[in-house]
Amino acid sequence: MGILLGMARLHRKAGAAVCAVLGLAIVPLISADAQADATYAAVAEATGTRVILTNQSIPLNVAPQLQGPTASAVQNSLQQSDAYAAFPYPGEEVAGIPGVVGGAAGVPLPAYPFVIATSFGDGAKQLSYPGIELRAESTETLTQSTATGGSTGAGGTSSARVARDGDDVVAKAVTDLDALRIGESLVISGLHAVATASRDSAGKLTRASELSFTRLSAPGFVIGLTNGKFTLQNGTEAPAQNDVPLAQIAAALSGAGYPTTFQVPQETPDGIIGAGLQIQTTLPAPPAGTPGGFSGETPVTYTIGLLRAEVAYTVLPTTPAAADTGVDAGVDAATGVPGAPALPTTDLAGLPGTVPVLAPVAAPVAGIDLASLQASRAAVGSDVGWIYLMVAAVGLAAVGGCAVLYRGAR
Amino acid sequence: MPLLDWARTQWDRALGALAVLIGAILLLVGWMKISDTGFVSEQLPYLASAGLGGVFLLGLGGMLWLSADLRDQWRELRGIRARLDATADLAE
Amino acid sequence: MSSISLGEARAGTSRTARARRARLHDGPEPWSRRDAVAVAVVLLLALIGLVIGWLGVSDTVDLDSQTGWLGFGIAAVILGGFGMVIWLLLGLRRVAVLRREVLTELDRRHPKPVRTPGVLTDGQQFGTVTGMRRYHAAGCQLLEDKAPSFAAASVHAEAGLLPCPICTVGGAPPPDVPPNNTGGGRA
Repeated sequence: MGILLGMARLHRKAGAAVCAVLGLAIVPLISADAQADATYAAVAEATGTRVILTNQSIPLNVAPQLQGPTASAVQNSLQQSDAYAAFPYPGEEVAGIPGVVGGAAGVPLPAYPFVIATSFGDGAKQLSYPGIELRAESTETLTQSTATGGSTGAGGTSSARVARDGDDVVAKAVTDLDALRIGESLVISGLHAVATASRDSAGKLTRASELSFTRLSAPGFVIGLTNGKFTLQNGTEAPAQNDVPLAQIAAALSGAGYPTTFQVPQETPDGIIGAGLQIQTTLPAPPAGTPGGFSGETPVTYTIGLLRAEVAYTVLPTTPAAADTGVDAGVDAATGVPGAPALPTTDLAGLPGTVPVLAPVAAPVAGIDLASLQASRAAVGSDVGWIYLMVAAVGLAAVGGCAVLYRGAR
Repeated sequence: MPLLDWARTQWDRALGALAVLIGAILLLVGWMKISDTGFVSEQLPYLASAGLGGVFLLGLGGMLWLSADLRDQWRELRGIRARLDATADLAE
Repeated sequence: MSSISLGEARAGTSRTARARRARLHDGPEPWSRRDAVAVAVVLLLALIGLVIGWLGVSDTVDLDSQTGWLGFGIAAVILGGFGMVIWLLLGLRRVAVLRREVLTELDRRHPKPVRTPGVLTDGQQFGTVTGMRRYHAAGCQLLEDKAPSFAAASVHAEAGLLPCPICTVGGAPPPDVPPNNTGGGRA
């Protein structure tokens, strides 16, 4: 009897010790903050080429445009994960016509077919047509899209990717074009453009961009572009010569009938807009009697590069939203979405006014507004920490119940 | 090693204590992981694995420890009853 | 259930006990192999359900799907808890049955001297402990290892307490309750 009593006391002490340990274990659970401040918003967008045509015979001064391959990715800490890929993309106005017309007529019309989009929770989607490959993927930590158009050797690929790994966020936009013919005699090949913005866990922002092509051939000369420096090449396979001043390149291109504007990379408060080239040419007038009344010469503007990568992060509480950065970002009156900031340009040809002002890359994605993000996050207050505590309490109750049962069993 | 000997002879209690320990650690680790992220979609997997798994292990540990006690009582009572039976047989 | 029996009936009672034991579980452990297998299967199913729920939650970022899989995991934990409770209840019940059997047999072999039914007088002092529903004679086992407070029976009765049927304060114990049966410790 004495032994039994002794064992019972021992077990009671052991049970009390276990309860004390578990009780101590629950203390950090209660005291710790279950909601980490991980508010961020990231954008990556890449458009291979953007072509804008202007012709006086087109009614209402509409300037048709065509762009692609286009890829964009938007991801933020509010579980927004929008990926988008399109090729060819005729611009929001044209692509939205089926919806507008269908809505007005009350008849559901098929949407613009050469586009794919995913949002948070959609996973991966793919769309394939002959010569077109579109992919988009949205998960909680990864948003990416890729648009490929054309064929091997004469095609292009744009990809946009936002990835979060722990507290690190990386936005990256890439465009590769095998070959691009502008007008009758200008050919750009081996074009490669990259824009990257990344934030580490401390909120430090790192930017990088690149615009290069292996050769640009125009009547009379061949040049290459690497890291913002033009080089003159003699013939197809000739090695690159020393750097050539921009003015000479501009004069040469202008003389060849291709007024060109080169834009240096532009750092934004939260990222970078990569270098860009804007080349203008003019299509000859169509023969008289062309259907649709189309007549006269058609100036065409090609825009290359201008990839965008931005990551806004919460650890910089003084960092204003993109709209408050001092750079005139402009805001779409209809959507309230800030557009890309206007960039200072380096007019190589010295022909102001001959090249249309660079419009921002068509952005079907929203800009970054950190303040509203934080506000809406606070409103949502989504966190399962309290559920976890309840589950843990159930576990402790199970152990406590066992202790009670144990005493009963003795 | 006294601990190993104890674990060998008291395997059910050892398993029970181990399960409770792992369960408690799992709960703590899960909480830390959940605290690391603000995404509900990232928190829920930890709730499903560390949270529910921890609770399961805590319950299992308690069950094993109680089973060991019941087993001990069972043996003691059976021993007493065997002695009673033996004396009864002698009396017959 | 056997109770206090006469000397010549001992052998017969012992045989009866053995016959009943044969009907009940009588293994080296409170649980039979069948019990162990059944509970192990339930626990295994619960564990598999937990893993499936976890994989399901991890495999999607859609909140609705995740919630569904989380519910699956919770159901698995409930199933596991059910298995554990069944296991413990089986063990507790069988140990209790065996204990009752042994105590009954002990009581049959070594009956306590029949005590004269107690007569309640205000001169006698009876003890009770906070939380008890009954009051007991000074030598009652149920007061062992406790710090009782003593008072007259009428005082306890006014406080709503009942006399202990085991220590025969209120008369002879019921015929089917052995005097030394603690009844699982409840008083």
